[in-house]
Amino acid sequence: MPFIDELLNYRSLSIVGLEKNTGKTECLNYVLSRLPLEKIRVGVSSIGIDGEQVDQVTQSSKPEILLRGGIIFTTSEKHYKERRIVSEILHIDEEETSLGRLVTAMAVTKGKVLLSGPSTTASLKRWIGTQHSRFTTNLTIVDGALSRLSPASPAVSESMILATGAALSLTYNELINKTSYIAELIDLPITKNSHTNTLNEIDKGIWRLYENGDAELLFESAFMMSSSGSGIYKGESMAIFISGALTDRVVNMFSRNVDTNIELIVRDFTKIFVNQQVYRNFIKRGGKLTVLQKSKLISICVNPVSPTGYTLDSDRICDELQIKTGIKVYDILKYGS
Amino acid sequence: MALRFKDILNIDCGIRYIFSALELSSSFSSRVLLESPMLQNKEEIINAYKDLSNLYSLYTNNSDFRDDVSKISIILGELKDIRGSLNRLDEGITLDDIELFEIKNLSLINRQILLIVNKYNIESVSLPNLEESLNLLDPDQNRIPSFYIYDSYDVRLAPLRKMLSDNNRYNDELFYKINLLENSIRKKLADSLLPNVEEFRQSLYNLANLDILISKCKLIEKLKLSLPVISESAIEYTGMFNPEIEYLLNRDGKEYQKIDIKFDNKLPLLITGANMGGKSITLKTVALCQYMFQFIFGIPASFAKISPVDKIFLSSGDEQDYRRGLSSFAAEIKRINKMLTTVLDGKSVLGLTDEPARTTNPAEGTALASSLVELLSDHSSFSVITTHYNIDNVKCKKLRVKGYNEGRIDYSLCEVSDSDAPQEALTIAANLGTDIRWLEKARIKLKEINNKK
Repeated sequence: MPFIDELLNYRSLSIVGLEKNTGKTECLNYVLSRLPLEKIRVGVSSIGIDGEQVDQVTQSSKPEILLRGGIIFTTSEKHYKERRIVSEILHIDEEETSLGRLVTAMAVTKGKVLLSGPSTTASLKRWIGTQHSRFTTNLTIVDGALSRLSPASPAVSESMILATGAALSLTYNELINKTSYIAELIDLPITKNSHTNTLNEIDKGIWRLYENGDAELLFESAFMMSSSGSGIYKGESMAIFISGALTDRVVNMFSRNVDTNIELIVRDFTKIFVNQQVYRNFIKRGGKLTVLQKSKLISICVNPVSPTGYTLDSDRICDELQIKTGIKVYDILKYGS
Repeated sequence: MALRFKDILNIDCGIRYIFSALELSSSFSSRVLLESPMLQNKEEIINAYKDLSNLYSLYTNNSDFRDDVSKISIILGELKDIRGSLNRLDEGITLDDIELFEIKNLSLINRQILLIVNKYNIESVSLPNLEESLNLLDPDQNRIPSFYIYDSYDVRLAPLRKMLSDNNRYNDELFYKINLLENSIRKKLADSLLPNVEEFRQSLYNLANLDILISKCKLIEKLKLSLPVISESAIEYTGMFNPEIEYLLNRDGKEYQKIDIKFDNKLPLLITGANMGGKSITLKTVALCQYMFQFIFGIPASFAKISPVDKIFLSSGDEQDYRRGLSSFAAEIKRINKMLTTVLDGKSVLGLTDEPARTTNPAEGTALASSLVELLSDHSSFSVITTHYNIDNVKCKKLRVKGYNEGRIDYSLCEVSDSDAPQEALTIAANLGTDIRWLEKARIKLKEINNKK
């Protein structure tokens, strides 16, 4: 059985879709139906609103999450009331989401449920923590949207599965290119900079970090940044922490003004919005991009069917992606969820 | 509409600091506290302080209770605001699992707390016995906070559920069959719980009140507060301090000088004294103490004797109401006028007015301030007024900040008989490092003015 055994080495897992309808839910169902529940206790939730029966954007049908007895799940009050499963309520969180409070329950029978969960990175982190401490789960799974709109980052989990497929692109090259680029970003190294602990607290601005432990605020935000640049950084090696999104503009500005040894540090890969070409140029010039936290990418799942009904050659995608990324790639539909 | 605790949080006297220093276990308790009305009735206040002082002496004298308080705090951490669910129960609506879970949780908390408080004689907390309801919601007697429609409610449930799990494919029809059965059980549960709805409410509010009382006891110890003596005609503090300012000073390595103050509802109290002499802080702290008194807290003073009032007015004079287009003078006059008319209407009032009419010319300012004091002295009210103006020939009690003494400010208040407001502004300005040329000129001008008199 592909990759299930490897999952047991981690305490948390997020399943992230590169696009809607890339088979994230099938992938989650696949994992949930194969985990050895007699050996481990599993908790599952989702980031924000997810798991609608009908996809809100494309109106195509979305599979629900299928649970077996014994699995602990967290969802919003609204979705808990709509569950089609017999389950025992264990806890109700006080934090309100747009769909009500978060209810944690244990499945008593087999059944289906719509998942919605913590909507910010902080509450997601807290949720993963309480799953372990309060409900003694061994593995906590997050159905993680890689939506640019989601404020909650799936990178707080220890491991990750990436779902990609024909919904992302119908051109083989583009699909493989885009997917392997994201896989590369997920695998960016954790910074060795000594500031790491304090950086977690900073939520605003672009900072220059000095070796003696000082940090200097360069810009309040990327909008305040002057793109012209005066070349003052020439010849200096430096570490820069970007607390928010890393955009082409930020990368270009530092590429232009610093000639050697620059390290850009971002919170995690979800904060990177940099065009592949810009990123490659930056690396070629000797730049380094690092993160504060990362998840171990365990495998990539491919859904060769696009929402419009077109089907790509799944073997070709799997093979090419595996060669390019060095990570195991599976067509989940083939294995059957 | 009575003043509620949440209405006074933004009053600039340090009450928010007090609120945030309270260690409440449940956010529901803090909601209950915020919605609680200010007590005005003397008997009510006496009774409420009796509850607090009984619990406080238990807390300080009984080490077993002290240990139990930490247990209580942990249990009350799970107390949730379930008023909505109780209202739905009251309306005869069939509750869903979430609501039933909440009621079961409350009953469990009630049970755990009862087991602890029954060991002591705590009159202020009367928790109902919810054992009967708990048995309904916990048929297997597991006594753990979780809920679903247990198999033991109906013999038909277990086989149906087993079928649902054993089926290879998910069976919708089977699920709806189970759901139908579950719903009829929920309906029965709600019907049986309905007669106890008032007991649930009683439990909910009493648990919150226990939380509030305990946190007030902890606060007395933490901030070194004292329980007040209740009076009808006098307000008197010995060693009064403002906890927030004390905290800020201590943080900077400075010491807070506590002060004594005493006044009654016959004569207004006029405080004069140097700038930076702590007059405004004194007024704010008197307001703080009064609010803490009428919301039944320990009082930040080593001794406090306080009379309840209907209304408290604090006019610090430095606020502008630019949103309503009022200058600082207009805003101030309006505020003072409101206080004065409330006094003239015969209400019992604590009026704290910081430098009335300070922003206008000295002649008119003095006229406004002294006439205010005169009006107040003719009517019964607890009034404290600070001023730099010379107010003569008015019936009032006068205190003066001791002021500059060997290079340091002595913030304590002393009785004065002479009418002239002390002239220390130049000394203080000099200590602030003001340019000598300006000061020299000012000294000459001052001599001219004093000679003219």
